[in-house]
Amino acid sequence: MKYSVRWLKQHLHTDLPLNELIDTIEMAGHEVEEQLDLGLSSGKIVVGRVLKVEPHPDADKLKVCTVDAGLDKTLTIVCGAPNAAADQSYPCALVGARLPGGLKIKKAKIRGVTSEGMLCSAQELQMGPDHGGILPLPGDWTIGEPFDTILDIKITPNRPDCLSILGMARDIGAMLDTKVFPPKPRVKETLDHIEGFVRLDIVDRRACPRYTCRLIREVSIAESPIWLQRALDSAGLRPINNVVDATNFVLLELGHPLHAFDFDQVKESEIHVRPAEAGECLTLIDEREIELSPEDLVIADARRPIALAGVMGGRDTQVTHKTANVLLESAYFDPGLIRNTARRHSLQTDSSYRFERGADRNRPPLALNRATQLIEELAGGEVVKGILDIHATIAEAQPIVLEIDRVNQILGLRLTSTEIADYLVNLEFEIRRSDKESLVVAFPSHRVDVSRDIDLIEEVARLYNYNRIPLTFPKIIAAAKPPAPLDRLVEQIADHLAAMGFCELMQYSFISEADTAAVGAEPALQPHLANPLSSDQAILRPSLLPGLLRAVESNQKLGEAGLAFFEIGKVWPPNAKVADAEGEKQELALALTGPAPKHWAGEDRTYDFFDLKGMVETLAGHWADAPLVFESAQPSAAFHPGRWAKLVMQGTTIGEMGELHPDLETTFDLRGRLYAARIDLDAVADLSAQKATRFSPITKYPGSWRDLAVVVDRQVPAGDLLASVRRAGGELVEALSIFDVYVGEHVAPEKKSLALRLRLRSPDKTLTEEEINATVTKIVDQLGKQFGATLRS
Amino acid sequence: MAVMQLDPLLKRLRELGDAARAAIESAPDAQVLEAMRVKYLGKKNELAGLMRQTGRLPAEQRPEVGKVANQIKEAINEALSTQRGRFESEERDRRLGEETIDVTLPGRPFARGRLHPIRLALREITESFTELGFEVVSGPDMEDEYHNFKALNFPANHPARDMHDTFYISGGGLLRTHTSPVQIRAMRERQPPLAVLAPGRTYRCDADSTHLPMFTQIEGFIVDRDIRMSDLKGILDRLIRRYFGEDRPFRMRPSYFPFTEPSAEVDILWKNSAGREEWLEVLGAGMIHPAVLENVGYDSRKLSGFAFGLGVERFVMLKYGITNIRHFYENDLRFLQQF
Repeated sequence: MKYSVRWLKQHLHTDLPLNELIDTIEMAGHEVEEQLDLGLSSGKIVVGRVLKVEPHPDADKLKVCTVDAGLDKTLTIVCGAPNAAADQSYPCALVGARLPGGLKIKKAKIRGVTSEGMLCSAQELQMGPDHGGILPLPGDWTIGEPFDTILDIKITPNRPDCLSILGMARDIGAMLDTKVFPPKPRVKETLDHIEGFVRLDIVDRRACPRYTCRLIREVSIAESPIWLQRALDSAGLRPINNVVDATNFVLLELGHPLHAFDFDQVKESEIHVRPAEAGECLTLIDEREIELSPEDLVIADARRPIALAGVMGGRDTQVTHKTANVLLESAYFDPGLIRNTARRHSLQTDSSYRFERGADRNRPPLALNRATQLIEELAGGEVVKGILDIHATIAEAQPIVLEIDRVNQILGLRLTSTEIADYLVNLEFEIRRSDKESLVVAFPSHRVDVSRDIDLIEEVARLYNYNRIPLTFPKIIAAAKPPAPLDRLVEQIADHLAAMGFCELMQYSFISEADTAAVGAEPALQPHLANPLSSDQAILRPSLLPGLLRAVESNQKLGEAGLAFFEIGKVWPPNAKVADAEGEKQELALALTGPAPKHWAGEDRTYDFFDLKGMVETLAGHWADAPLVFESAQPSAAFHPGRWAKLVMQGTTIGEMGELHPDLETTFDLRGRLYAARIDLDAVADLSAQKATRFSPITKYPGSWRDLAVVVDRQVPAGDLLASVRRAGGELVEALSIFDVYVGEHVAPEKKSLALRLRLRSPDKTLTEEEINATVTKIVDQLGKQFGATLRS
Repeated sequence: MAVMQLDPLLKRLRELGDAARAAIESAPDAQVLEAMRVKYLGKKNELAGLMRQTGRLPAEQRPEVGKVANQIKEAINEALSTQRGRFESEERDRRLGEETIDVTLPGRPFARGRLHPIRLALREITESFTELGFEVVSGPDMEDEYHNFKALNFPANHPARDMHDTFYISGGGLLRTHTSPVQIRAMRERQPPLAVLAPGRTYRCDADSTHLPMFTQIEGFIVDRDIRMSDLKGILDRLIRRYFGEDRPFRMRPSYFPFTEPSAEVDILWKNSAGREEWLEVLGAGMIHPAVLENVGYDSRKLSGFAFGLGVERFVMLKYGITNIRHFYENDLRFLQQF
């Protein structure tokens, strides 16, 4: 809500400078989100009174005003506004002032006349649209005083009592130990009693615990006086006419929403507060027609709904310039009901905003009388005697027992019962009983946020000032568990990959349908957002891969070529359930593309499958004792069918890697071949938890190297060959690698030659030449039997 | 056969020795040096020729000649070795000179990897709590109404829920709007005393220049007997000093979160771009609301606790002077390579 400091200070008597006042407001728990300085801070925008208006000697549309701005001498100000008039005050920006829009006021010659300031319009002060020129101010505002400062303050949902000038003044007053008094309106009434004119009936007492109204006859609808218009536009409300403005003024001043009906449009002079009937419609003040449901509460006359209770009035009964008799409503509606209605019809009004947060249920008569008094003053008319007031008997809220020890235990303080009582009394809480150990506290009806002792403890802390609470340290809990294996694994992988040259990315958890489908997931089975911000962010990602590809795409567009990216994060399997921590999986995804870093002495080289494979193997070496197995099988849709492998560790599939399928170009605008891997880290964490590192004694016997070149059919997978060598050679095979693969004129077509290097070693003895040869022969025989392998001559 | 005179022989031996040393020392290269070696020490060397003449000396004089001859032989050997060493050293120097490279040429490049700044911050902050004995706990991103709101004391149909612009999942559930649901899960699975840190992703259905639809939070809380608001201040003071450095004043302002009471926003004093110091909101905190403790079956008369939640992106932005929150998830290498 927007608060005029000038208006606040009418109720809150304090000499605090503005910045300290703002600090006080913030330390009361109300965040000042914006400060529109209209002079209170700089002193450069003041109330200025035009003493004389003369035509500009050299410009038809300009006027030369003599202005009293409270300075030693009057100012000459050139002004183009049509409404600049003598004996009228306006906001006057002095030389040196900076207007909210940034405009700096300087002494300037305007067509030969020196202007020593500027008279301001509402728009120039960012107080809303102009009403035809500069902003007239009430005549009783002291000339030369700073004009105002408007504070935009965020009121948390628990403090609707502060959604008004008086409510805010009261809360600041408690902080400053100054009392703030509500108005005591006096109303002149006629002799006739309202009961003779209006019939009031409340059907649903739960929805409307209290309804009060007054009848004011023979009013004269007119424009509101300047002071009232300025009050409304300081809070961002638009002045309409004196009756409507009076209700809005009370809304801002006391925080209680009111509504005024044109009584002559209320059929049969009947007011029914009832649920709407199915099929009923209502045209609102803003000309919107809404269809009502039985869950809506309406104010109805004898025939039809005339207002949506607590939210907005109807068009047909609104106060217009023709209105003569006004029925003024001041009620209390159930917060939940108003909230539902407002949401159902997508309406949020100043009224619904306050009712849904919780108005003061004892406030309707005061608000009614305050508005009545204003209407009487501003629009004349006669107030019919009495108030129609129907209310449920409201049991007074149970007072709260506050134990002094508990206050001090929660806050870490040593306050006495008396100190605590003083704070609470400042806030208009009532101490029913008190002793050293405890207080019995009753709380005022505007404090809808209070129901138990902790609410009072917060109030004590607030008034004591959080920043005066000492610093202590809690007992340290020593029995800490080690980090979860998955968490540790994730950090380890991130470090390893960064050391291998990969750059870590983080992506949104939600992606588009096209990206989901592109990597072979079924969009319909993925969790969807019901209200995504855009369709690009509608599906919870089944894999990190699409995000990585998008990142490659965007960085390639920026001219980056050699890219190595990884991401570790949550993915959602198909049909993932809500609130299921186990069902959300941690994935690792890698992408590698473009040229490897080029050295001036080396050759140009593009990353290929085996670059990524080598990196994955190195990484996986940390996870388990057994080597990672790369099986070629039916690839998933995202991958090149001939360049893909399933990653298997100790018999468990942990992921896949390969070259991206060229079909993905239809979804992703990628340049060059891209190699990617995705790995299920939950599976890896389970496997690596089983890893048991055992020391094996270091053998003192020498090892022997043997090289073998074997010729096999081209389609024989090297991995199978190696596995066979290991099996045949048994534990004597200590190390095994392939150091060359040859296809060409020196072997038969359809054949390839693989050059193997073995190291044979026994833990128990030095192997003899005969033993080594016997093992090699066994291996060669096995390869011959299994793959038709021959030794290359 | 004429009898040899001793002295002339010794003289000739010495002359030979002197001549040999001079020749060796002046040998220009290894080849000439080798020729010298053959000449003076080889099979038919001059020294041997002279030595053959000793037979013509009286027997008692022969040992003297032998002694001198050996001295000369040693001297020649030493000269040869010195000279050979000189040649080898010159040869090595020459070779090393030829092998000189331009060390200012670039090294063979090895791609430098990076960790995301969010990970770096998560680590830094997490470590500062695990060393105090906090346990790291996680929960699902896709939550239910109960854990995200109801159990955290958000009344149903209350404007407090408007504070969180919530993404809902079709068919029920939502994306958690904060990490606080982990409080409920962790408390239900454990018995006090407990000290828990819950980092994770959170989601809000709004996006503008200062908000992202997804961001990272770290939730921390302690529940035990006699946990006081002053303890919360002690922990926050430590957190702020550890992450932002010493001499970083902070203040606590009353605020409202349904799941804590008293609740506070925590501001730190920070120099803005214009160089003026101002209070900047960095986290929310408070004493766990007794209703939340009761919702997980704890006795709120005996136990109390505090909780805080911080936005990791905001912390990182302040620390490194990042002005646009959108950088975090745009994956521009020009951003990522700065960390």
